[in-house]
Amino acid sequence: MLADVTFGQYYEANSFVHKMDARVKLILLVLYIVLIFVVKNFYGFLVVLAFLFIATLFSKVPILELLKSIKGVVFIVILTFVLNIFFYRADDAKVIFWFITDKALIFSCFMALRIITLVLGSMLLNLTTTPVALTDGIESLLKPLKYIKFPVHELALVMSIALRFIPILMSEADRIIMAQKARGADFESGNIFKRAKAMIPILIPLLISAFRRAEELGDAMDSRCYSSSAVRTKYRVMRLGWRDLLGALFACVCFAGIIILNIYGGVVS
Amino acid sequence: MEAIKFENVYFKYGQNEAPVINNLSLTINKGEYVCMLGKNGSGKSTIARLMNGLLLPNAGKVTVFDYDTLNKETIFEVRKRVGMVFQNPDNQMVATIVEDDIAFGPENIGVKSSEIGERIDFALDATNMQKYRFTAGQKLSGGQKQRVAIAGVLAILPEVVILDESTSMLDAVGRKEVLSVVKELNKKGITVISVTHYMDEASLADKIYVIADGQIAMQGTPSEIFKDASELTKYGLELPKSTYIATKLKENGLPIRGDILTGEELAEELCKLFQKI
Ligand SMILES: Nc1ncnc2c1ncn2[C@@H]1O[C@H](COP(=O)(O)OP(=O)(O)O)[C@@H](O)[C@H]1O
Ligand SMILES: [Mg+2]
Repeated sequence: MLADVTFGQYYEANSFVHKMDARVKLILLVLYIVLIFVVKNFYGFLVVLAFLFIATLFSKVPILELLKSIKGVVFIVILTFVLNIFFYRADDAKVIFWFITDKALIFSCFMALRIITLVLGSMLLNLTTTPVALTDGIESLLKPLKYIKFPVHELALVMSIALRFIPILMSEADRIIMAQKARGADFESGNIFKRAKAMIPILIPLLISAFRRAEELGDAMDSRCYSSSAVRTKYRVMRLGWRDLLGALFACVCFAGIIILNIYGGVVS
Repeated sequence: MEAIKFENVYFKYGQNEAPVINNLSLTINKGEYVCMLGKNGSGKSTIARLMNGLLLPNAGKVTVFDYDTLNKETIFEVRKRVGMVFQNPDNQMVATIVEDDIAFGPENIGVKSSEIGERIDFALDATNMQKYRFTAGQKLSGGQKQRVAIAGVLAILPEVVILDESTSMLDAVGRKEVLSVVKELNKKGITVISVTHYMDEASLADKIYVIADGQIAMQGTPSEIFKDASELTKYGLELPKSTYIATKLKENGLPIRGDILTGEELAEELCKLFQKI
């Protein structure tokens, strides 16, 4: 469980996609997400799926591993599908079965597909990029915000410290829960309010401990010459390589294809 | 050469509180291995924090390699020279991966990216942690985590390393690992100031300060300090195990040296005694 948080869903492999720069992957993911919500017909979706498939092949991540990530959103997908079938209204829709119209069915399928491809695409980024690289990538991409005095570096540092302390605080919570259970605390019975109230004896010690840790970490950081105002250097220098160029080029071709198909392929939904 | 110098230092945590450090003066020379002993709450951590400007004296003066810690402009010169390792191995790592954590200090002081890698190498070598460069800190043992903490400090190339009860949360193996690293550092010329509750560690020091109520109660070499058990107990301390055994044997009439500090010395003395019999 601890390793899960530290490395996120990172799937260790030595692949083309793994070696791409986190920044490039992040930008491509954003474009990809925008596009799957723009796609208006099935041809476009074919390209989206083809893109996803090829990217997965080049990441050496087993397709099953990637598909596992859908498990977590099955409920949302079904809910979206059902809600859309019930509530989607269009003027020229034909009823094909009971009250379900053809337009509603297609639109619902599209929405389900969108969520699934969104999750798969994001998961592919998580599987091929370590949280450390992601944090670095986000920091680097947000750098322009420095000019409007947005604390980019601080934000990245906070993310990286959070990443580091989540497993520690989780195992601490486990310990506190056990300690309170040993004293006869009951977390399982009663209604939701009663159970929420039972969490207080866990949260307060956890909070106190978190503050104590924060204080010591602050001292340790100060001792190691940390100062938010100083000019810092960075150990990891992110460099764009031929893989980034090639990967981005491929993605752009696919994305352009989707847009063209969107324009000329007709509007289904 | 003087590394750290306290001149009539007073310190209190709050305006209306009693001073925790009372008129303290001491000098620690470059290259020394100094141990600070004393009861909980005697002021050891406060003294340690005064040494690198985490705390500033209310009166008196703390100088670190001729830099006054009160001078805001040179505070980073002070901290570059005096590294500090704390008690809890979990609360000192900033980054998830060992090498990123060690890079934190050099990044802070603006070391060139290309040079940071060398510094990480150096720090991992000095702490015997080369194997764990790409490991997540969370997967290390307590002793290994503390060695990473030391490595993180070493990457800044300090002259002084302060350990504030850095081995107190470790098991015997972890403590040994950390101690051997610290001893090696001291041999290479780094000044070591160690706050500890382990008398066996203190017996290895060049100099011991016994702190009580924010003042120096006793100071001297280990054999000077451990000569007088009755005075030590006044300050809540006890003798190192070997010294204790030797004094007890002597009290019971065995002709044995009274100034024994380590297990090896004790074993040697006992062997000599047996040969005589
Ligand atoms: N942050 C603080 N605020 C107020 N009082 C403190 C603080 N830290 C320590 N003290 C007090 O200062 C005294 C010395 O503490 P400390 O230097 O931590 O001792 P030691 O490290 O020897 O156990 C203690 O009486 C303690 O209660
Ligand atoms: Mg202390």
